[in-house]
Amino acid sequence: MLRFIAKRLGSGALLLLVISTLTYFLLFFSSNSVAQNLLGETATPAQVVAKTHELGLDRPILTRYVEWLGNALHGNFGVSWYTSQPVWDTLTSRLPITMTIVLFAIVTAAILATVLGMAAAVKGGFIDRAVQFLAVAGFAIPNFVVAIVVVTLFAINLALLPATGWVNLTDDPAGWAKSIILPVLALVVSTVASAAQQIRSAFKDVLTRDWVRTLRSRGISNTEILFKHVLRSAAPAGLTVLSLQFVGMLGGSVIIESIFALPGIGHLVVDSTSQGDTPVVMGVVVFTVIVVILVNLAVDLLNGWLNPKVRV
Amino acid sequence: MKFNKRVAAAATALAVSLSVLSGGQIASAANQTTLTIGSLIEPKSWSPTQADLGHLAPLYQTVYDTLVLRKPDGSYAPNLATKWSWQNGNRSLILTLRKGVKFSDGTTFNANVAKANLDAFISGNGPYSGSMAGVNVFVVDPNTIRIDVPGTNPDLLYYLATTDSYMASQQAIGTAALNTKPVGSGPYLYDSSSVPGSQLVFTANPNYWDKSKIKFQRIVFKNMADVTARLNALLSGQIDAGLLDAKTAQTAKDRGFTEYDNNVDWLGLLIMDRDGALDKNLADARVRQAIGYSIDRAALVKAVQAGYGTPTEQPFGKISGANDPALDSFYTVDNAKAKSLLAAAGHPDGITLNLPSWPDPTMRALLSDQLSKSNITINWVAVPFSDYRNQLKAKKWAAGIFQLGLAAQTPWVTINFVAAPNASWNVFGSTDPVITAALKNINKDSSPKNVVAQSKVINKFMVQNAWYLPFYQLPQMFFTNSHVKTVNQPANAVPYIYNYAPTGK
Repeated sequence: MLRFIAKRLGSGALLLLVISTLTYFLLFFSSNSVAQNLLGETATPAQVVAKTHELGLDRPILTRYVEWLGNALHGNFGVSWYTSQPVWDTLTSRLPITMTIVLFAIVTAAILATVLGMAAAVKGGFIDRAVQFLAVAGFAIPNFVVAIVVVTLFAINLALLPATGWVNLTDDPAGWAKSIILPVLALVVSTVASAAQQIRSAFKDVLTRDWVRTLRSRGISNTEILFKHVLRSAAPAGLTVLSLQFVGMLGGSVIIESIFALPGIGHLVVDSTSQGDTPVVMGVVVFTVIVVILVNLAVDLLNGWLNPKVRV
Repeated sequence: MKFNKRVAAAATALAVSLSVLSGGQIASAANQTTLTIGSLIEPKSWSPTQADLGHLAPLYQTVYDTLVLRKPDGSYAPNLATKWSWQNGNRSLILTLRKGVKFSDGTTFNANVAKANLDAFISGNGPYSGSMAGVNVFVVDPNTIRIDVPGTNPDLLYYLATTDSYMASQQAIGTAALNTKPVGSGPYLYDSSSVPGSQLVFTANPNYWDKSKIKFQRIVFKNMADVTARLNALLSGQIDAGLLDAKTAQTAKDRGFTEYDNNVDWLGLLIMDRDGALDKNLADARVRQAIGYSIDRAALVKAVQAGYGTPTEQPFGKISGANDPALDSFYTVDNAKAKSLLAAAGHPDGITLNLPSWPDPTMRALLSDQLSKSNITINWVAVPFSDYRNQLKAKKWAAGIFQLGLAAQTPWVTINFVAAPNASWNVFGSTDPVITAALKNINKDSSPKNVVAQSKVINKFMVQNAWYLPFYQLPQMFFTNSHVKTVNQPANAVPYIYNYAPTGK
């Protein structure tokens, strides 16, 4: 097991190096006139040249990359060219917000999708058709539509929950809970839709296996068969979908963060990329790749625990 | 990016539709001690050397004092400078400074501090440091400074009242800490509960020298780049004031929020290559005029701006004094005249105009249709919008649609923005004997009256020779709830922080 983890971490480190290198060079070719963007439209050419030199952008790209890599290996991701905030501080203040929303959304979606998927597979009939309809509908409705509807209903009309903003858990636990409900709800709908479908299919498949019939013939209760055996066998399919949804949510959280004015990494990625704020983009990329690697590793380990055949 | 813009547009449309179903404003405490503003951006740095106009102005004003104050009517009033006078043929500005002013770190404001701040601004390479190029600052006595300008600078007071003279503690100037935490003498103090990127919190400065400027005990700027978020926050009572747009304004109006329209920007076609370096056709004024005679500005306002906007044909705003209402009907739509101008310029079959693709598809479609009636074909070339402005400024395009924030500026600022050979938006450095003569005249006599008179000459020349073809002035649609009132500030997208007050409701 340790060898497996070490191997996955090693390949993850290689992936991190490749992606960060590619990103750095792509940014170099795509972000023009950072100094002009920084100084605004009134800046003179001389000011732009001076700012370019101040940022070190007049040095060769390889020199800059090697310097960035060296600093990054020591945990120094530099300072944002636009906000003067250390990238590390920016990420450590913003990443928890995105992660909180995404984690709550994925856990909620996992529970709901499992219940709905199981119910559809086991009960069949109307429930199955209803779940399939809801799955298609949920998948078809974009997150931002759900977000607007829930904001209008719960924040503006009923004034039960805040329309925008983020509250720190340590400052106001109740306010924190209220501030995450609507963003989580907006993210959950489409995730439940696709995961429930996968879990339903996996369940149906497992329920037709011979060993399930054997368990039933031995008089084991249906509840035990479903929750102890079938769920365990069907779980990898759902887990894989949820892990992909998790990664997708990290990248796609920008719309939800915009609508709810959440200071997460989604908006940071868009802003810093369009502005060419290389230190911030690189910091976000490194952190995101690490999170994705860890999530995939966790899913692999979980799958291995659920199904010993996967460990081979 | 395109996808995100479409999603944002769809989100706005949906939010507006659903909000119509809602009722009136949400009630909150009558005794308004906190002002919460939905802000589009945050300062890149709290160092006054990096100060900027527009959405950032009220943020800097919360914690910093300027030497001079610009009032909503455009006049200047004492602030940290109690009085001033021009001497030496308008080449030296003498400012008498206020005594007894303390910074948030306990240090005292005086002439040495003022000079240190202005020197740092001049050498700080911030967005507006060029406005003080060649300026020298001298300490006359502990409470007096002299600012010597190398040439004409009739708008020095304007710059001192906006970006150039936010005063920070001398101990903080040049330190890295000042980038992330302001140390000023302003009416409010930066509160440690601020979360950059989310919200910035300020509390009333108990030692402030002018209590009349403190109308709230607390000011919160919530960072909301998205207009849907600002609309929802306004409707749900999370913010007291915020900027909306043409798509969301009606919802706020229907719900009883107070609207403050301020014409700050204009949007139009910048014909920059007037000497034909990239597009030889545009070197002929008749070709540029033909384009002007083909644009139906009222139709653009109706289709693109949902009726919010004022058609205009001149880059000088009304408050500049150089604006001439008669010039706004110089290019009445006349396709026959446009065709004859093109024929006279040697293009009887029309021309093709290459333009970087403006992101609004309605604008592109309508403008293409309007110009095609004069045999002018627009070839829209895809450009990443994040790089759009830079490409215009890098002389990659002979012309392009853009929004310039100068409609309400002072005449000298406008000249240095669009007309002078080294003006920010005179990208190809175009000049003409008419403009050269007007600038020489101002250099000899920089009295406000003469600056306005010469600006009128420049404005007329630029309109008639189609240096710029503005379509319309864009109103900044600012809203407050019933608990707060404010006053528009000329030349600024949002009200200054001093302009807010509780309504008592």
